[in-house]
Amino acid sequence: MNDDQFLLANAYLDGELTNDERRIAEADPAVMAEVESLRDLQALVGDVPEPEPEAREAAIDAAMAEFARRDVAMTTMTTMTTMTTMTTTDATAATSVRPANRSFSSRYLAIAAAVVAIGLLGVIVANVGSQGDDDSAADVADSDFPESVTDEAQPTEATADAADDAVDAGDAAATAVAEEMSDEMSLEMASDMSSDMSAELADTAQDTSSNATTVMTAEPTGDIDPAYDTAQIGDRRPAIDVEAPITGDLQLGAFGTYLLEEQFAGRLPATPNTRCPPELNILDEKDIVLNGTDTDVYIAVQEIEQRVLAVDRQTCSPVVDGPLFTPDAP
Amino acid sequence: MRTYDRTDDELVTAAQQGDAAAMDQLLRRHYDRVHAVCRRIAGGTRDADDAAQEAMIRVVRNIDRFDGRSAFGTWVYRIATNTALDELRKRKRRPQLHVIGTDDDADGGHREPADEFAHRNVEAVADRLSIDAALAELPDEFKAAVVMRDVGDLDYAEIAAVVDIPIGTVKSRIARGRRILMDQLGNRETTSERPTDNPPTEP
Repeated sequence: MNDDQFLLANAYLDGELTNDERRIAEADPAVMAEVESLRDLQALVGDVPEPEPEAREAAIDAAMAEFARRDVAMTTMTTMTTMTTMTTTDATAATSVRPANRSFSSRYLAIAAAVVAIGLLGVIVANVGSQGDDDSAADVADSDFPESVTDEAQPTEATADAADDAVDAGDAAATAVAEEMSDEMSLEMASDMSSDMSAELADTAQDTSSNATTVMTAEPTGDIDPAYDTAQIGDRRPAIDVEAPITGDLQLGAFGTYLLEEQFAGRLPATPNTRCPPELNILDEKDIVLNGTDTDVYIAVQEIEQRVLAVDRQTCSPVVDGPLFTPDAP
Repeated sequence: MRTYDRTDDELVTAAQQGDAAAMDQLLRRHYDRVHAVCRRIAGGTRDADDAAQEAMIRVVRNIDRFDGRSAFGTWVYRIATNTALDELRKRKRRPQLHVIGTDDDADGGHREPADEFAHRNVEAVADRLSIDAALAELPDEFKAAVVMRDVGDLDYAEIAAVVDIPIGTVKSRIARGRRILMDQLGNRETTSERPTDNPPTEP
């Protein structure tokens, strides 16, 4: 049996042949004999022991616990978005038109800013832009916060709960930030921050909605350190300065390998929360020198393909890649 | 229950809107095959359990990013494959402890728990151990392709999308992977007509 026959037998088994190809296969006894052998093998590979019911329930429980946390975060994000919209409008008006609202607004804005901070720390930014910036505060209040916002005497339990949920959903750092902001932030700081964050979020959303298509395809062309120069070190894994910008593909590969090692050792901090597909396996953010310009990218590791990718942060498209080296033992 | 009648797409939409019952249903619907993929790629039962659980968590974390361009199952098995490969790599890097004086198992150093059905079908268990051992020796890229086809039941186009390689490469990897497995399992005739020196090349 030659290679073509073997490929034909495999494709026949998998139902991947055209009618003509199938007829050719069926007319060849050697191919059909090979198909039977392959069928036995396929059955053997597919004969997988059933998972233990306990393992199944444990896995689903763990995933559903994650879903519950995500749900809280989503609710908080929706709340945050609406509050941010309101806050922007309110903050502008409050300084000149409605100083009487300051007492309420101070706490309200502090909570809103805290929630915004948590949101920026990694919940979900992508959908923020779709929330209407043109809605009036009253409209938003009527539709989303009929109880809390119209009662200016004090924030209601619902508002406080939303902030608490956000704090619960965040990590320790986020919690610290939120508490500090809630306790200490003045009206002016909160107003400024809320406005800045709103603008930032709006920019991000605009980028998303405009479906930015900038795809960089050039190789990094920064000054390549001799330590990373392929011409000088071949395909050996170079030593890297993890703090330094990446200037070459081997350095990129070495950095990705380093991240993988850190992940295996349990030392890698939380991976960036991005809008990119999870299968990219993004592990970190990094500067690379692309066409002589510092560019912020995500670093993704493709273990199947043994590649490390620098991924454009707006489009999630690979910009350049390098080889994934064999990670060192921990 | 109505959720049993809903399609994956309907359940995904509901889950993306926060419907916990829909999410739970999706996970239950796909868990066994996810576990099977993990079992075949990662090897041991315990590693498969870990990988399958991690895959389930990743599915939940990323459910909002699923945009329906592929079938939900394809997307899930892609996550499962990557998660299982992560688990496999972790295991390769863990120090392996072997009990001296006992037979080494054929599962990459991981001992299987006692199979409660072993007395019923010793031969089947032996086959499983053999295929586990053979799969353990298979290069990851071949193993992923074969497992996605024979366990995940993905077609070539879906596997190509999962691994982001041309369909021709999928075809080649599956063929080469199966050839290696057959050689290792001793199922192939050792005749001169077998072109082991010239396996199909990847396009």
